[in-house]
Amino acid sequence: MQIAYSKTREQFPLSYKKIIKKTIASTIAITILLLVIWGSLAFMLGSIGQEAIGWLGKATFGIFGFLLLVILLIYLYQRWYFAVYFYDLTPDFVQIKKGPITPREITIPYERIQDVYVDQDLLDRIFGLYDVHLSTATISSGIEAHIDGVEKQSAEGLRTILLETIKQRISKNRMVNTPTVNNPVQ
Amino acid sequence: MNEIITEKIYPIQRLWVFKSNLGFLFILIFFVPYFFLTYKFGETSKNGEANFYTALLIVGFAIFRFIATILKRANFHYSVEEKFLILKQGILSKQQLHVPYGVIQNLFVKQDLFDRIFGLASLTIENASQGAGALMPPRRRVEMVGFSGNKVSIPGLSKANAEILKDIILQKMKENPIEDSQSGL
Repeated sequence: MQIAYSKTREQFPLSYKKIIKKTIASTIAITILLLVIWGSLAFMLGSIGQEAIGWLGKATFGIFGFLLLVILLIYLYQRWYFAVYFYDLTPDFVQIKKGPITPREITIPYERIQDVYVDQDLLDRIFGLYDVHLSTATISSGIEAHIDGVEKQSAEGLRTILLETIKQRISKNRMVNTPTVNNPVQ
Repeated sequence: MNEIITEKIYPIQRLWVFKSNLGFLFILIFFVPYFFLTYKFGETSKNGEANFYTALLIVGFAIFRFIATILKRANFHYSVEEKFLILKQGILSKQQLHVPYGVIQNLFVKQDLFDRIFGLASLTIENASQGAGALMPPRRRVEMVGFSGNKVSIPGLSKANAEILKDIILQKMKENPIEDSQSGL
């Protein structure tokens, strides 16, 4: 599949381990759900009587076959998601676009970034992945504006380059300030 | 190319009115024939009558919503002027909003599934405002068309137009930086 490369993504690539991590995370969730369903089914059939136990074997096969199919589908979807994941640090704006079926694209000016935040959840720690968040003062940017699943080097590189650009742009704006009564320029 | 950009140049497509009422259309297609059939051939006439009025209610509400959407679209205006993004909305109670380009926090271009099918896209512009109805309960902040809270939502643009309009606003933001930065870094 064609990967949506940008200059930034070439320099700080997403890790392929992200696909596996995401697949495992959803597999765990679905397995728990199916175990609950299987458990209640076993309880129900068990309370009916002996001949119902035979059905339980078939149901177990069905459920685990379904699980394998779902895992395959999730894996393919995650590969697709990975391929269209786009992020680019242009000279004036940060652009992040994701979602293969329903694309969402956010554009943020550097001056408006409130903080740069790097975190890992448990699976991220196992795989050595990092999430870089860069939110503005809005709630929706907190939800959307992050780059998920980069390795340590890329995460630190992204953070450094973001902070450097923000610093430069803020001080550049300060220099442009015209002298006023309240704000004299030395 | 010096004219002011308004909704006349990059309009909200008529298709959007249809798209945003699709949910009701599905209900109409599946349920109304069912209700009418049970009214005609139902066993107990009393049950059938109740169904008939339910169907009538659904149809009535769907038509009302459809007309409301048309009016909302007709009454929503934006113009990308030199220093401010100016927005007007409201069918009965009119509202106007001026957003300076410098304080825009982020822009979204989003497509949901039906947008994808119809080739539409919605452009959302946000600042950090607490005004303009931000303190209303979230249910009342319908994210259909217009502005509320810190969000300005222009849906139903064609995909190409949404990208162009986004670039125009980004260009304006570049030209009008705010001098006193709010960023804490």
